[in-house]
Amino acid sequence: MVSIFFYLFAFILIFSSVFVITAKNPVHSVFFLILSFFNATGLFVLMGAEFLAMLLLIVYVGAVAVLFLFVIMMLNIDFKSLRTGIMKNARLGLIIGVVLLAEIIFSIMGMHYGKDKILGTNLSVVSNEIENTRLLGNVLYTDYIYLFQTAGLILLVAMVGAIVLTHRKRDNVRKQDATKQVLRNKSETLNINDIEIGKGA
Amino acid sequence: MNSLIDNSNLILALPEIFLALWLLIFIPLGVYSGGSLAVRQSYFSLFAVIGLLGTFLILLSGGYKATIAFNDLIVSDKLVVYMKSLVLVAGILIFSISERYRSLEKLFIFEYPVLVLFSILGMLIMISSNDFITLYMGLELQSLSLYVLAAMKKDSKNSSEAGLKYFILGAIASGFLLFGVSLIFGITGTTSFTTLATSFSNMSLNQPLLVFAIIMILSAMAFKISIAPFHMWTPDVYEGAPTSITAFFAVVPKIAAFAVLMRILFIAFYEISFIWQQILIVMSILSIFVGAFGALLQTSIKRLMAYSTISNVGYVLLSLSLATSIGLESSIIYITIYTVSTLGVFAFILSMEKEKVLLDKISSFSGLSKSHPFYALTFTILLLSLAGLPPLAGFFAKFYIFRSLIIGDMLWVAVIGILGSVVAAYYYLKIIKIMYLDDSEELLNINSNNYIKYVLGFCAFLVISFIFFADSLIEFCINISKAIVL
Repeated sequence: MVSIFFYLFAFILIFSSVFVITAKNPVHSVFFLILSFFNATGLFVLMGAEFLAMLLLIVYVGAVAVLFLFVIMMLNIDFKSLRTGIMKNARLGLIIGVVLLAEIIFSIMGMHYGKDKILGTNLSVVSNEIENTRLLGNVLYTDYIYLFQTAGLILLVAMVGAIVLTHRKRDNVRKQDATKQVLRNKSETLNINDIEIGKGA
Repeated sequence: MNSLIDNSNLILALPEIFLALWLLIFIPLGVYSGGSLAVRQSYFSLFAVIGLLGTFLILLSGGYKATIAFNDLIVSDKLVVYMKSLVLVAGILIFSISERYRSLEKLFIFEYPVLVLFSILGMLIMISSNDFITLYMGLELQSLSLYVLAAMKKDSKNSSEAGLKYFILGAIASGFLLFGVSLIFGITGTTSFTTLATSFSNMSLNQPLLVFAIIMILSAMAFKISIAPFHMWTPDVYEGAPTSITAFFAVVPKIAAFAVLMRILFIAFYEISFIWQQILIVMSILSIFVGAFGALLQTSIKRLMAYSTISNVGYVLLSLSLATSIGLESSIIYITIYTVSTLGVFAFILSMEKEKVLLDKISSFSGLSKSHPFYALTFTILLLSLAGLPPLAGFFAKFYIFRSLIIGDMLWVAVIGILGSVVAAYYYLKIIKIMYLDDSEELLNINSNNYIKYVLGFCAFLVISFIFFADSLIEFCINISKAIVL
């Protein structure tokens, strides 16, 4: 049963990632990217790593993919011209592809031959009794509380920094001030003129 | 479940907790306070300085006892307390000398002191780290604030360039650090400094992967303290960033990065010192010479100070490369004296204005001895100290470095270091010549802001009177290093 789901998720994952590259419309590419993230989530759930699955869903689908959509829709990028010159970059792409392939092969080989050589301790965290979200929570809020709080401060700095670098006062922008709008009287804004019939233009 | 949030843990982290809470009060206070920006600026600086003073007092009341807390994540001992005090005092002094510059440049926004405090908080976390993860967190908190501070002057192209350059290179350096740490974790199964020390003494050490990991970590740290092959960002960032931020860059992050580097080298990697010693010797000699020769042709005082920093940190690293207690002690002395002299130099730079614009060209200081003898004299004293002339403090700093090198059987390295300092003396003396012998091209009208004058005078006084309290400082530094290295 599990293997059926594995093959289902894996095939859709591979096909949707192929479509990410080949789709003509960039918006379609992003949608295929989201589909591939969903399938990767399914694979993580099958492996029992449900926390990682949720994280992938929240971070990548919720934030990164939507950011991509924003970039594609807001910026007027000419995607047709980006597609030209594929042969010019083919050599570089090939080299990177070979390097990545070699890395995958080495890491698979390392799993068979060098595991005890590289790793000093047993790093397995997956346990069947307690789900790993609870396990992570248990250490995150006790053993690593100091780091957790520091990470919060780093995020605060990122927010403050983004505001500092992008916020500027513009002079010729009309701002809506709700208080001002509510507080004004009829006499300040309405001007009732008595105009003779037939003379008002 | 073990309860980690008991009193002993919290007391050790009390300075950081206080500063973080102070910042959390500061931000809403800054956002919601009314009034004109120019008036608010001095209140905000005062608020920030009070926060730093409070942190300093809490730190001092904590005591020196060597303790580890939060599940091995942070540590406190003499080195930590001393380096934190240095950071906090330097931070307070830099706030006081940058007031005038900030009103000249209209850097009124309250985020300026907030981000400076954030970076100081990051440095405190770095200094007290006993684990690579804590180190990384502190480093990121510190550098993220510094990137923004470098790009603070939004209407200046140079400032934006400085921020961007610093950000991209800093992010790569952080990546190096993480890569090295993950390799170390793969080899030993731990990231805690104290556990690493014991696990290195129980394993075979001839692994090429270990060398690779250490090179990665050292190059990331070398980037943060602008050691030679990784110094490229320093002149551009120093020149482009607002000058008050340059003063901050030149002094405070260097103290923190050296403090944590000492802890990495002398606690975590002490057993494998044969790996890192040669790397450090090569890097430090390179940066002594890059700093000395790079500064020769500079016309901008900020770029010159950048190269001066590069060569000065080279000397500190040189004595650390000895991996002995004497080397550690002389590098702590050097950092202390470097902090005082560089603070004084930047107090001078921040007061050199003409028609409400800060001067940057060295040639514009000509004839200063006639128009402003106090400034010229104090600056001369500080420059002579940086050049290493006896009986000023800088001489003793270099003297102890070379002494420790000769004791550690590295005579040739000491000779090379002395040659570098001779070259460096040339450009310090050149500035003095411009101030005293050249005819003035333009008349400076220095606003006699009292803070800057006091800080300048204070630093010059410390540099002159060093010989009178040298004994107690040196004994203090010996005590610190004895507590670290057995």
